[in-house]
Amino acid sequence: MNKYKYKIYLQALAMLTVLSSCAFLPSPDEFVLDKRTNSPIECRILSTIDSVEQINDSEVLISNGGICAMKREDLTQSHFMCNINVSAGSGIRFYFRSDPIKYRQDGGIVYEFNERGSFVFENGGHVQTVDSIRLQRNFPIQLQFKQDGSKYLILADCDTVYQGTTTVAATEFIIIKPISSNVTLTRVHLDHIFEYDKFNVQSKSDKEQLLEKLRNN
Amino acid sequence: MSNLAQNNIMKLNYKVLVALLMTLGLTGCFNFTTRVERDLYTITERDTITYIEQKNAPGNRDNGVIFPSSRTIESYRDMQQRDSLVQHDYPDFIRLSIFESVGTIGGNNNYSTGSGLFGIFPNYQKLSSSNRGDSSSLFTGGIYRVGSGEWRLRWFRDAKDWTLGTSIFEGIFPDARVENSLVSIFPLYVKKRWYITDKIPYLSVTASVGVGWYPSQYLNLSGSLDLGSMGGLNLRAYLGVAAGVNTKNSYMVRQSPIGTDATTVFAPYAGLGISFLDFHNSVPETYIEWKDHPHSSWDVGILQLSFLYSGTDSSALSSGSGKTLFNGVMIKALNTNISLPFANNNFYFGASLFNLVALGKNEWALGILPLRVGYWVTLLPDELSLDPYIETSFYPSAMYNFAARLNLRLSKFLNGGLIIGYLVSSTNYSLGRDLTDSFGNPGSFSRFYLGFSVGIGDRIFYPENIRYNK
Repeated sequence: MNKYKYKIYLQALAMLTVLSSCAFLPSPDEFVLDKRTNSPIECRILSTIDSVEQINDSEVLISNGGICAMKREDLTQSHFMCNINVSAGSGIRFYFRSDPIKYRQDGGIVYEFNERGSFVFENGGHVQTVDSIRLQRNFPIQLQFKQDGSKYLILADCDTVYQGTTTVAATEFIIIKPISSNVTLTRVHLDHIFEYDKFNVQSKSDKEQLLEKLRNN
Repeated sequence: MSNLAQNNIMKLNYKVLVALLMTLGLTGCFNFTTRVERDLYTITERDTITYIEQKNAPGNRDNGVIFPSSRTIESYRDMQQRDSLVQHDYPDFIRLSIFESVGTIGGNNNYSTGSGLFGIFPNYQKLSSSNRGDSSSLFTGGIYRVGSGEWRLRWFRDAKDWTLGTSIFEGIFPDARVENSLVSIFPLYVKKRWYITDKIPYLSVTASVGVGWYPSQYLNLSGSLDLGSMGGLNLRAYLGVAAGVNTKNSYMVRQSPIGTDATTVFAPYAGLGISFLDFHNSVPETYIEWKDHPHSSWDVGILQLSFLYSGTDSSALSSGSGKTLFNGVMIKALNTNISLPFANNNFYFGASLFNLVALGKNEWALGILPLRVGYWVTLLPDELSLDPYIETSFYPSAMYNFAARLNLRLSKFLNGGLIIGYLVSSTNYSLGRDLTDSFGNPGSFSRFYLGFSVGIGDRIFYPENIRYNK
C-alpha cells in the first residue's frame, strides 16, 4: 500500500513539474533590454515574433513589418536614448506618449525619421519638420526623447528636432516601427529624467536655483 | 451498508474535498481567466492665477498729479501632475468548460452502457457501478469531462493555436465494465487546432494528446471536428484511441463485481459529443477586452431553480400532508439561450443539460437536453427582462412546457424573477427505483404553475452586449 502511495506522489510530482514548466514558459513576444542594469526595459513585440529580435542586452533588431513596444513600469517622466542604424529601407517611426492600442490611430507624439528629414506629429497633426536631420543608411544617429510634465524634447545627435509642450498625457510606452526598413537600435536606455535635466520647472530662476542647489550638494 | 463500503465512501469524499480545496487554492493564487494590463498616464496641468487688488483710499484724489496706483498684481504659477491608471482586462484562456459529454462507439457491444447519443441519455434502470451493460445499444460507452480548461501554449516560436489543457475530472468509459474505465483527475492535454472558419461559431479540427495519471494511468490520442462555441454550446465528432492501466488498488478495479486484478485497457473509439457552458476564444479574441467581447446569448447560466405552486394535492417538496405555499420545483442546469440573428435578434434558441420539473408526488418529469425557442424582451435596460418560451424534451419524459419568466438581474452572477407556465408531460420510459422511490411514478399530467425563480451563476445579457447589435 505504501509503495502505491509513493507511486501516486511521484506521479503527482511529475505532472506538477510538467504543468509548471509549460505554464511558466516565457512569452515569446516579450523580452527585457538592459536586464543587468537598474533600469530594465520591458519590450513586447506587437507584430510577428520573428520581425523583432533581441541581439544583445541593450540591442534590438527590428525588421521590415516589425513593431516593438518598450516601457518601464510606472515610468512616465523619462529620458529615452538609443542609437539608430537603418541598414535598408526608408525610415523609422517612434510613438511617444502613446500605447499599444492608441498608436494604431497615430495617437500620441510621433517622430518620423526618414530620407527626407525629421517630422514631428501630435495626435496626427503636423508639428515640426527639420529637413537637415535626415536618415543616412548605415550611418548611426543618436536619438533622445525627454518628457517632463507637459514638455518634451526630441534630440537627434546634438541637434534639437523639437522642444515644446503638449496636452497629450505622458505614458510609459515608446513604440518603434520601421518604415519598410531594417533597423538596429543599440545602447537603448530608458530612465528617469534626471533632476538636472528637468526643463518643466516653473520658471528659469527656479531651474537656476535647482542647479545651484545640486552644485552645492 | 458494510463498514468497508462506508470507509471507502468516506475516503472518496475526503479525496474529493482535498481536490476541491486544492482547486480553490490554485484558483485563489492564479487568475486563469483574465489577463490584466495596466497603463499609466501622467496628466500635467499648468495654471496661472493672477490676483489683482485695488485698494481705493477713501476721499477724493487730486487729478493731474502723478500718483502711485494702489493696484497690486500678484501672479502664481502652479503645476499639478496626476496619474491615471487604466486597466484593461482581457480573456486569458482558449477554452473553459463546465461539462462535456461524448457518446462513443468502439467498446465491446455485449457490454454497452446504453447512454445514447452524446452520452447523456442513460438507461436509468441500470445506473450503478455493478451494471455490466447489454448488447442492445449502438453507443457502447462515453467520455465525460468536468471543469476543463485550455490555455495558449506558446512553443515552437509561437506556433499557431497550440494549447495546454486539463480537466478537474475526466472519465473514458469504453463500455459498461467499470474495470475497463480510464479515469483521471487533472489529466494533461496538449492540443493543436486548425480553424476551418474563423468566424463564430468556429469550425475547427483538433488533434490532441492526453495523459491521465490518477487513479488510472493512460494515454489518449484523439482527433475531433469541433463546432462552437455559441453561448457555451459546442458539438464535436471524435475519433481516437485510449490506452492505459488500472492497478489492482485503483478504485475502478475495486468496484468491479468480477473481482479482477489490474486491468490493461486499449479502447479505440468514435463518438459524438456535446458540451455545455464551454466557452471558446480564438487567439485574436484574447486581445479583445472583456468589456468589448462579443456575446451570442441572451442568457447563460449554471442553474435555474424555481419554486412553484400548481395546485396539486401532494407536495414534491415535503412528505407530509400539510399545505405549503410552494409544492413544486423546477431545476434547470447548464442553460443557454442563443440569440437568433433576425427580428431584432430577440428570438432565441435554447438548450439545457436537463430540466427536472416536480409539481407534486407522481406529477413530475425529467427532460434530458430540453430544447426551447423563445422571444427575449428587455423591459428595463440592465435590470428587467421578460422571456416567454416553448420548451420540449423527449427523454425520459415527453414534455412540452409553455412558460414565461420575468427576470430581475441582481448581479452578473445572480438573478431572480417570477415564472408562469403550463406543462404537459408523459413518461413512458422506466426511470429506475432510485428516482421513483423518492418522487413516485411520473405519470401523464398537464398543469398550470406559478412561482418564483432564482438564477445562480446565471448571466443575463442586454441588447448592447449581443454581437449582432455591435
